Amino acid sequence: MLFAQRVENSSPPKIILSGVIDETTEFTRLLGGYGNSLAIYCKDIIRINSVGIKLWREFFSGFRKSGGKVSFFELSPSLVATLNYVSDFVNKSEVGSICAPFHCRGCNSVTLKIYSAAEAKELLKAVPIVNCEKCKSEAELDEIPEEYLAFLSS
Amino acid sequence: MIFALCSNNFEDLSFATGVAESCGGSLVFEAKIASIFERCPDPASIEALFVSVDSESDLTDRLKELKSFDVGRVHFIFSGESSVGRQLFSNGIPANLIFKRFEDPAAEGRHYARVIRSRSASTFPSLRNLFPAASIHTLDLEDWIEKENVTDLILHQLIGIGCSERVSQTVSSAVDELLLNAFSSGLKRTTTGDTNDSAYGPSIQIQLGTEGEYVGVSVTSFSNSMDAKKILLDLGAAFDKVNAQGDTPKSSFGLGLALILRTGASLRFFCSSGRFAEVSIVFKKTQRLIDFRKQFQFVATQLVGSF
Repeated sequence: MLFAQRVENSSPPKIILSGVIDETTEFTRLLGGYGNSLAIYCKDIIRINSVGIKLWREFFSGFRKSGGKVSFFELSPSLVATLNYVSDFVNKSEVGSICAPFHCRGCNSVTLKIYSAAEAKELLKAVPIVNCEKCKSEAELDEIPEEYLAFLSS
Repeated sequence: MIFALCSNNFEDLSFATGVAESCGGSLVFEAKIASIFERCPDPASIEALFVSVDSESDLTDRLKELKSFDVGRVHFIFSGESSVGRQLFSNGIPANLIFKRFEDPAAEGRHYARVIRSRSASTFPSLRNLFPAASIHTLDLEDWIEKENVTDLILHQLIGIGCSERVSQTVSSAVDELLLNAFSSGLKRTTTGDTNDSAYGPSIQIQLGTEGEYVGVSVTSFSNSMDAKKILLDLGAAFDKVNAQGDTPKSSFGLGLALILRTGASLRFFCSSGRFAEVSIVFKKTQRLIDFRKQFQFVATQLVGSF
């Protein structure tokens, strides 16, 4: 199930989405009524299935056609993977920031680091080693940069 | 048991040798299919025929050379070009595909041998056909409302058996897609929640098991409306989508299976029209998702009865 939480007094409306995007997701109920300019934060979206992809595309396509403007921030790894694969999912210009997953060899946990679209381009040149949030050991990017950031080139 | 390999490639030879040795059989290795049939005059004696193909046109030529050989016993080793998969499955050909992405071909051959052994063992769907030595956990699902809870349960079970969080998320997403397919493939589903409703069903069973470094998760749908041919078409559509950019919303047929194939996991379909369809996700327990995506991968089909 998908949950949407609006951050009070934010302009444009900042909506934090969390959970799962699937056949039960009702985007109109969750996101309608916030006006035609949205800032959507997606770090906590765990997964999206094929029907969820269809519903997302239908909603945001209609939103854009009716003059709506949307920006996506902290796109979770599952959404970045979808963005790279599915056309008309998110427009490149709408990407405010993404989450990049770093795997810690010490404790096998994953640390998500947030990169703006501009910072993400730098990842293509050099991927940093970051410190694991749990054990502080070194963590490496658990994606192939050229594939994970393919949307930047499209 | 006799195994045969038609290839010029030594990695393929190493792989097929691994399969044959694991099954206690012998391997016939030739560059041409005709040469294999000369050495094995009784094609029915060939347990599995591995054929290397590089392109769609290569596949067309090989299919002609196979003549009346049971294509269900053919295992195409291919470069990953999606048109090969599309051509096979969209034409209703229940073959098997092995992605030529070997890291340790002999070991991967020994792993793939479980697919070969399961073909003779499988009379009724069970993950034990593929993982005979595993401890199998089974869940039964009656209503699609339970889908999200079951998917989350699979996620936690995968983490519990030592899969990393990202790998577990990836596999549980794949299970979610299979459950979606199982519930939406024209099968009756109650809208009232009334279990006495004659339209209630189907029943779905999920199984999880692990053997060494490999894990299997299967989703089996029992229904008299199961159509094996439709499953092949769905697979063909998936191969159509797996490398290309996704298409418009009105054509999401096969997208779910394409998403699963893109993860790097292997799939095995065991179907009997009018009775059941079992789809098993098979994968190596890696810690990093990068390694999961690069792992040895196959798509195997075993269809029983007419289709």
